[in-house]
Amino acid sequence: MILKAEVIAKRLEEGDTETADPLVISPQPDLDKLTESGSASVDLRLGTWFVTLRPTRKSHIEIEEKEIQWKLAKTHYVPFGEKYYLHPGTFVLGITLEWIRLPIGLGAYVIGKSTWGRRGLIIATATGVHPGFKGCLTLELSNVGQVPIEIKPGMKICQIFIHKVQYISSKYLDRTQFVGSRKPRLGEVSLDDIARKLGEAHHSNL
Amino acid sequence: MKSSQVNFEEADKKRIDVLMKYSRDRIKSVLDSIRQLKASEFPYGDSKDALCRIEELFENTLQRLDATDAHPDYIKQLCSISLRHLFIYLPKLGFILRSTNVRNAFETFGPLRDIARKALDPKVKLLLSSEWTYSPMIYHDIRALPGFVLIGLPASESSNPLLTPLCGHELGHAVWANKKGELENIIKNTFYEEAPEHIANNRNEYSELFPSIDKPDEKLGVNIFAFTRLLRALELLLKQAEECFCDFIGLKIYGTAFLHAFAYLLAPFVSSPRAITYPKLVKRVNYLVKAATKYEIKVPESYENMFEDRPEPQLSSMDKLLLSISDYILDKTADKLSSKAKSLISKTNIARPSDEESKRIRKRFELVVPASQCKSLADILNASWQAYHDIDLWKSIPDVLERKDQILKDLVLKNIEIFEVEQILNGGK
Repeated sequence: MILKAEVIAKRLEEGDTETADPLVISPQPDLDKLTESGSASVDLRLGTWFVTLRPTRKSHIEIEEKEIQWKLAKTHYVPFGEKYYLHPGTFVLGITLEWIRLPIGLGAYVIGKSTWGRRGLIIATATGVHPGFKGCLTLELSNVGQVPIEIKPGMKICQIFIHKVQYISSKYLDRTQFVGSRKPRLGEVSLDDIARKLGEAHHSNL
Repeated sequence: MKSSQVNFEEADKKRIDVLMKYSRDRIKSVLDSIRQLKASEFPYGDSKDALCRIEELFENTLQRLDATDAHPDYIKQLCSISLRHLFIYLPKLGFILRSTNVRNAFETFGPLRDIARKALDPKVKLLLSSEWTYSPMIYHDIRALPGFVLIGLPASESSNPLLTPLCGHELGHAVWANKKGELENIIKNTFYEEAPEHIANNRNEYSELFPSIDKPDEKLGVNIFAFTRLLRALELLLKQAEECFCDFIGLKIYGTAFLHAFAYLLAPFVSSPRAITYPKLVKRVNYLVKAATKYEIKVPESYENMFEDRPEPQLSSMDKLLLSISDYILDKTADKLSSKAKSLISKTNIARPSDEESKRIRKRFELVVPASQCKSLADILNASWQAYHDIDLWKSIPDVLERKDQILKDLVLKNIEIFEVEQILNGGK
């Protein structure tokens, strides 16, 4: 069940005082405006940190490449008041200004805003936010249009839909590697046991 | 005109021409470097502004050098001034370049500049950089950069907000420069009052080093030989006193967080001989603890036991005696300096650290969320140190606990950014 904005506002207000497992969006949106919006999402703003992938002497990104952040990523800081230009065909990681905390009983989806989508700006491709997540949300920004797009830290960039999650035990939480970060991160891809075993079987047949 | 005279003048002109060419080329090289630096991604306007001011200085020098019909002596002087500028400003250009590095904790800039403006002047411009030297440092009173304060922290700690209170010490140097006359008078007066007593207590050493003086304690003010030598002790004392005063400024602004950051930087001691322009480490910490009590700031448990003195340097008997005078009188001055630092900061509207607030913020950190509506940078940093030392923090959240130090740094920096955002939105900035 997706939470309506007025419910989200109430949960945020409760989370601002002492509760054991609160929903938090910080900086907090204007709760009166949120309640009155009548929507079923909260707008999130663009943060100040960006990451681009830079050309290097490497031929490609390996599946289980370690320390890829140091090898391939170039970090940019764009202060409030300054602009960043997304040229057609470019891809950059951004981050939400807001630090989010989802309690155990809530999950979320982050999606773009239609006004940006109509200009060619795609916000995110991996949109699920699991219960228990804490941190800023990395946004995969790409301009699929034909005209350069200007973006500014602090502006509304995406929206988060929050929904209830059914659970039996609260002790199992998603252990994401992206928890607790204020900067966009590439993270590390790893093959699970099944993929590894299948890969080994393939080699043994050669 | 004789031919030898003509040759001499020609040779002189050639020499001046070569000097001019060297100077012009040196300045052109630095201007090229500045133009490259201008293409950097500046995190805030003050960095770029500083760069433009230095560029202006070198452009003006180049223009003056281009006035080729000037007198050779004038040209020589210009060449020498431009060379001096290179020695002064090249390190500043490096500093500006490093101030743009994304390893820096840019989120601290706004709140730190706010503190600097309250402590020094509402128009102060600030540059924060991470330097490849372990000692935090400051440049201020730079001729081409009036009103600029440049603070550098160790590069390896540049993204660590917990060390931000050390900027308070560095800012203290600029406060000292602003109040130099007044502060030095306090120290000089104490020196003239207390030095005779030290002499009286160490009569044998004095008699050995100043055999011509029968009663050195009585003749301090009239024996020019002894007085000149003793001035070296005063010089050392002034430098040591400045360091203590800067500690007090950092302590007064940031409270307990300053003590933690200080210990993180320096405890237990550096295993090289003591720098004589600094107080003995154990004494320095003792002064800090006494000042903390005076300021009603909580001192971490067993704080003083974390520090040990560095080995004393190899000095001549004379220097040893002079250093002992300086150490002795610093002991008599420290309390006055801590009072002065307290009154200077109290007169500003820099928010005082509050235990209640830092506890509230720390409670939010337990939930791995930043606190809203914070009242000061100091409160956030004090909460951060409490969280840092809490071994039970996030024990029930394994994925957070695994990366506790990194997540805490990110959380603190986000909190500092939110603090600034809220101030902007509430019209406080």
